[in-house]
Amino acid sequence: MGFLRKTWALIAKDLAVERRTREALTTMFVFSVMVVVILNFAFELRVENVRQVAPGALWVAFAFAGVLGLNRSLAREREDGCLEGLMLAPVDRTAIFVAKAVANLFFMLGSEAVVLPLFTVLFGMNVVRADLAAVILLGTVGLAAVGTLLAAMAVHTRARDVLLPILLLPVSVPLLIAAAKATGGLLDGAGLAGVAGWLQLLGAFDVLFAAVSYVLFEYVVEE
Amino acid sequence: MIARERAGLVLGGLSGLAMLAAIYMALVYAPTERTMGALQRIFYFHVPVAMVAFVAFGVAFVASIGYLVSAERRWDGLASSAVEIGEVFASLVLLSGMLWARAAWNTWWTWDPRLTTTLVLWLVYAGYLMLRNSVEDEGRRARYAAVLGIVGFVDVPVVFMAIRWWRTIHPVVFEASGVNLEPAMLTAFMVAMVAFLLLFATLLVTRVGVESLADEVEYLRRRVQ
Repeated sequence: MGFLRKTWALIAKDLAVERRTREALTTMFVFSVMVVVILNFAFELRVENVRQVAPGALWVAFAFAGVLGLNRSLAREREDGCLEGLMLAPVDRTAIFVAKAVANLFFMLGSEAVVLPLFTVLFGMNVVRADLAAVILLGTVGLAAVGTLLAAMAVHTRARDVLLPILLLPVSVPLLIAAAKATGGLLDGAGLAGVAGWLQLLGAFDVLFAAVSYVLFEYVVEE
Repeated sequence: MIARERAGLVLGGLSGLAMLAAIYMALVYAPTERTMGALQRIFYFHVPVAMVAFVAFGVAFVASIGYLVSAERRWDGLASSAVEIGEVFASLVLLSGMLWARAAWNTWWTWDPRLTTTLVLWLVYAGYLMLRNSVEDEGRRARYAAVLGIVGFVDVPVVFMAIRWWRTIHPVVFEASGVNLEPAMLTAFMVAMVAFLLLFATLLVTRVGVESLADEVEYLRRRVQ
């Protein structure tokens, strides 16, 4: 089997587990909605223009829900010796990384896709837009890549789930700045060309950290 | 006396002398700055401390790569020692910067690229120390720490670039085109820089020494049992 088919087999495994348990998607979706609602209460009385807080509210919801989903997805591999099984299977460790990262990307995008229309209803401003989807895709790719690497470490520590946000969020600062800035620019009507610089930064972050995580992952799962 | 201890003593003595010289240069020798007055003298400590913090994290980055390539424990000892010292210096940069900012800008904090990058770095390496603390197995702890040591340092320029696109009010003293400093001030700065680098070397040698002593104790303890 080639690299792609092996990777796809691993992704299909994650999708099958998710289809049966619906753990990651449900948790992430409910949690993001909660973040959006809480932020709505926290801001509502003070903010005149919802556009000012919308980018922040969206990316806080995406990043925090992403942390939950990543933890869940990698903790699943720890349970019942699943990771050991994967390591014994005749697949490269890089294939395991790519598969987990892509599966995590799917789950994160899935929950984001449900949050956006809800956000549109709750905040009364349309965020279901093609240009915004491009920004969200770029931002989520980076989060999923470096998040998969760090979550694979975090779930094998004594602190478990608690450690991932502490490791992931500081590293993702440039990504979150660029994503929030690009989102804000688009909501202000700057258009994709107007936020090209931030999109480039997002793309650079994605490429850099996907490569670094791809190379480093095998040291994380080495036993 | 083993070689490392002697090196630690010599370095310690040298950095003590250099530090005295740096204090003299910064407080007496260097001329008073025209607009900021005596306030500017914190520069001779603030900037070298910042540079040492970056050097320390750089050392940790190289040592992390060294560990992943060779799997030798001494690289891990070097990386963890460098991060610990770097974190102390990063805290000092933030604190001395806040003191200066309060007096010069009338605010403790601004979201300037250098300040924010240092804060983010501080958070990344606080995570590094927490990660080390929560892994029992030595080999795994070393591998995880090395991975984060690399990811964290690769992040530094990206963080800086991202934040730089915001307005910056931090004074730029060293530019690509030249240095905006009086010759006497530059001399004082250089002395302070040497003093802090020597202090860093002393701390690093001592800390790595502690690490290998701990290893030795562990080895002896196992033999007794």
